[in-house]
Amino acid sequence: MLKRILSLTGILIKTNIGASMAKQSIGKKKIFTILLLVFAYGYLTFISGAFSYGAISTLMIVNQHSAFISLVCLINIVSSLFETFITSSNVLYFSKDNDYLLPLPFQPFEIVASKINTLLVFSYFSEVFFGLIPLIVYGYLTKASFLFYIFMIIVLIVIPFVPVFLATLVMMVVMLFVNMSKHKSLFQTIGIIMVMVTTMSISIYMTNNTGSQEDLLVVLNQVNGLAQSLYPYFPTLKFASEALINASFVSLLLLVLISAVSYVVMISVSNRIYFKGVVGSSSTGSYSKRKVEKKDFVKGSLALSYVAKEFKCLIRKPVYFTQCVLPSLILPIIMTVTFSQAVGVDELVADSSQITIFDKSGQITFSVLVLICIFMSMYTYISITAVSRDGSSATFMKYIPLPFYQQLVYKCIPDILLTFVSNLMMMTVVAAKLKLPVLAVVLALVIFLIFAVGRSFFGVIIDCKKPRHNFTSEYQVVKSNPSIFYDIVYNFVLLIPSALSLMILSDLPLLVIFLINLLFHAGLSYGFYRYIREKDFKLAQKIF
Amino acid sequence: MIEIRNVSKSYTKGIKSVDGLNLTINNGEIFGFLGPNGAGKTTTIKMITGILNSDEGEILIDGYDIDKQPMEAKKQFGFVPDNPDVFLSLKAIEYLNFLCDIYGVEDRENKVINMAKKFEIYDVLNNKLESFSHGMRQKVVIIGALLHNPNNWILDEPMTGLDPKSSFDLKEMMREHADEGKTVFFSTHVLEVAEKMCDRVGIISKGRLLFVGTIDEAKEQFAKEGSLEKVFLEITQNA
Ligand SMILES: Nc1ncnc2c1ncn2[C@@H]1O[C@H](COP(=O)(O)OP(=O)(O)O)[C@@H](O)[C@H]1O
Ligand SMILES: [Mg+2]
Repeated sequence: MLKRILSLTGILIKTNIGASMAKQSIGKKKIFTILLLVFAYGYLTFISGAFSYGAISTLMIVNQHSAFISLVCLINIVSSLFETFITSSNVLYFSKDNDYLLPLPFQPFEIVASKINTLLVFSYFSEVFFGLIPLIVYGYLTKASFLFYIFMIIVLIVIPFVPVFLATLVMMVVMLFVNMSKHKSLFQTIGIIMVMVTTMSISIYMTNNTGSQEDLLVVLNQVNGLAQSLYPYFPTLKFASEALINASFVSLLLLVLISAVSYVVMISVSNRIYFKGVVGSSSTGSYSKRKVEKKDFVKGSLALSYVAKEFKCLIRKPVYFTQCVLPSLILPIIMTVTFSQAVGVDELVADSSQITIFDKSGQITFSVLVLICIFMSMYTYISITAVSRDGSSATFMKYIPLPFYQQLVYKCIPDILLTFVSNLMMMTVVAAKLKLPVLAVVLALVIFLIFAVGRSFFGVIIDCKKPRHNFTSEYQVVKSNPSIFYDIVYNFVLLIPSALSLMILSDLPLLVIFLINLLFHAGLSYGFYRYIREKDFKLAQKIF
Repeated sequence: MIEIRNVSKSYTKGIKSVDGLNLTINNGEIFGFLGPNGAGKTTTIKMITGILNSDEGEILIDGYDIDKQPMEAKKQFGFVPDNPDVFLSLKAIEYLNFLCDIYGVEDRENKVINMAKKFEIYDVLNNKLESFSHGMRQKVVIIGALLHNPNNWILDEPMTGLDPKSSFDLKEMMREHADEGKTVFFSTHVLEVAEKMCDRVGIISKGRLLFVGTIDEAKEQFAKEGSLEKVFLEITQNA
């Protein structure tokens, strides 16, 4: 029985994150992907390590470094809680594997246990950065004994238990009462917006409070106070902190005990309530009684009709909406809000009002704006998943009498439109606030638009070459699709020409710099278009 | 009319999923493509419709080569895939209207409404395909395939998931289609279906075509008497 749960857990984890990676054979391309992963993870490790190092050193000066432990424990509990809120609905309810799993001869609690284990494993991924690395830095700086590291590992293993269970339980109870098929999209969207608001408040808080070391101390003390005031509600937080700070066996034992009991309680409770919710979530739902009318049959132009279909499929599927569309909208908003709150913005406004398009400052403004826009579009994964997202309907593209290249161009339009519009909004706010010269802003947006076209073409080309339309869970396409790395690398590489024009061309007149940028990006975009045009159906070979 | 000449396909090197297939499906006939699971039916149909490239050979639809003149060839057929899960986020009516835009269908309102009423899904056309059962999705896809009034109708396992009444309706529609002088080509692993309604059948197993002809010829050739089932088993087992 244990073996069955473990193997089912393994399968669930694979279908939810890793399947697409695992299938790739070892080769140059796989190594490239791995290098990228190492790079990305190395970067996060560095950030987390550097922050911990700074915080602990500061705290050690006033001999309060043990507060750091409570802080780390608190962050891990909160992040597990949030992460589970977001991922649990997908893993538990909206996953395509439910359709395959439920009819299989598994005991209900085996399925429940595997799903919950999957959520636990997910929370371990972020624990590496929020828990493991900070605590290792802590151990190193305080010259901790070997025992500390043993305790650390045990604490890190059990500490997500209670928060993950709490979040899951809340999700399950809500699912019991909500008519899932009706409010599916709403539900997931609310979750994402909650996270968005939190992230925004944190970023505003951070920008208002960073500065000198004293400020950092004050913040850390506040958080520590918060952690301690939460002790009664989160006993595991208390025991985990104590176990690590005082190397207390009793606390560690209590922590493990509470977690183990909570695991058993969790399985038995969810065994009762999970399946009632899950049946509702995949079955057919409320029907619209409205009959079709004349207006449902209006004839549309082919291009408009195709693009409209793309938008509908993108926006109506919650996983796609939250993973592909929202980031392109949220990021500029966060940036704009953070920016308008940031310290020193008033001085910047004073400086920037002297920018004109006739000297170097105008040229620099233009290049910086292009850089920012390109950077912002890095998180929009619409084109890179355009074909794969269609899933089993991807073959539709191949049997309708419409040239393949033409369909690819239509599929690029949502990405181009969304990234452009969100950057346009951001630029308008920033330019108005800083009173930037209009011409520089407009020219930068023109360059960005042409960049966005090329980027989208590049995205669909990659997606055709490495299609992932045979997925078992939509999550695979948007979350653990290695192609996304190509997209990110593309953005990074294309930051170079703008960076160069910032560094070496800024003595030239604005219009000359604009023309050079224009020629470069337009050439690239046109090159990709020619490629798609020439290859046409050859690009579709792997889609069947 | 569909002409398949010497077509082969292998997914993995050395294993031919379709091996040297030769078939001509004439206008005005219902042709049943019979074979056990994994015989190569879907693979063949994917090659006819341009979803898969063949390794060798050529396929002509009303004289147009699917590789060399794909646009013309694709206008000549309507296709019902084995998996009717198409664009589940769209409403049925949106999907059908989208197809009308692609094929440039005239008089779409009447066509859609008539067929939807026949299949008894008229009342739910305004709902997302997501909320449809397998059979209902199948019906929507069938309607979609017929909107542009194609000369060739290609269906992969079309009876799967249909209730008896719809199955009957579909058979009627196939008969009508053929009687108008058009071609119907469909695959199935269910013998009764083939026995009742096909003018000719082709039996395929392990990628090789074992028999082409009428049901009666098959019975004559392989077992002097006995059900088609026996014939079928005999043919595919001796392969
Ligand atoms: N995508 C694929 N990759 C590799 N082999 C495949 C693929 N699709 C089908 N096959 C193989 O080709 C053969 C024929 O399959 P298929 O045409 O789907 O059979 P049928 O439709 O007659 O049941 C089977 O042996 C199957 O394993
Ligand atoms: Mg098949």
